[in-house]
Amino acid sequence: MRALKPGHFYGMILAGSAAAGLYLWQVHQRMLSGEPGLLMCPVHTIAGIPCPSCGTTRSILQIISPDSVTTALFNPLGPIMLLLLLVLPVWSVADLIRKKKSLYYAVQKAEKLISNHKAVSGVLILLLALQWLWLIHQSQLI
Amino acid sequence: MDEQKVDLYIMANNKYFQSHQLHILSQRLKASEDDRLSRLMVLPMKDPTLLLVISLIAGVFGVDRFVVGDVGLGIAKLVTCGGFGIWTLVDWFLIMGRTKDVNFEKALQII
Repeated sequence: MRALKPGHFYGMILAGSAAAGLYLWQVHQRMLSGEPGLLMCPVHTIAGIPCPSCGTTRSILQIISPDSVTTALFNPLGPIMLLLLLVLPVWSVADLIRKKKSLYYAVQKAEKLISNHKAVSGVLILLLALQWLWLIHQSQLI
Repeated sequence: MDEQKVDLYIMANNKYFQSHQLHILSQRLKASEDDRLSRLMVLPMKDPTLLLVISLIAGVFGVDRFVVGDVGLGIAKLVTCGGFGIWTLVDWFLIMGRTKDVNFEKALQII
């Protein structure tokens, strides 16, 4: 399977991280002034139930700035995404400076592991399904 | 290889590839041995139109990317709610080309 070119890969990670950082900062500012968030998820708008990634922004904000968010459903993807947002840009910049492609190869290895081993992908799907059910359950309580 | 057979294959299966790839494919096939074409005929190809339908319906969850084989991008799309809906929209236009590219790479591996 043809993968992304390394240049595009690092560009996407750095641009994505920058966009995510900017988005988090904007939402944080709006939450502090009591306004609702920036974007509304299309799934939530149409179907009325949260999608698996619903509330990730709020979960991250809950961790880095507990005062800004009042009520929120806790999404376990929040801490994972926060960790990725901290690690991936640093790793990419380190790779670019050292002129190596360690992150690129690591991601490719992970992709192969998930697509070639049914057990790994099965566990991931099960975890995600459980997390989604839990999110739907939580959203009905709020 | 028999040129007529190759042309017939290309005509019957042109929806699976981009137009600029058809010429390369036919040239490579004509230069290769006979058994390559029969192996190519039984190779399961992904239908770009089907992928477009999947993208329209379940693109928000990244299902289209998983089906086409881009697991990493699929996960990224899934955990960002379809790239905040924007990536979903972009993929409605990109996914058919990506499917054809993937088919072409598969075909080249066999020839």
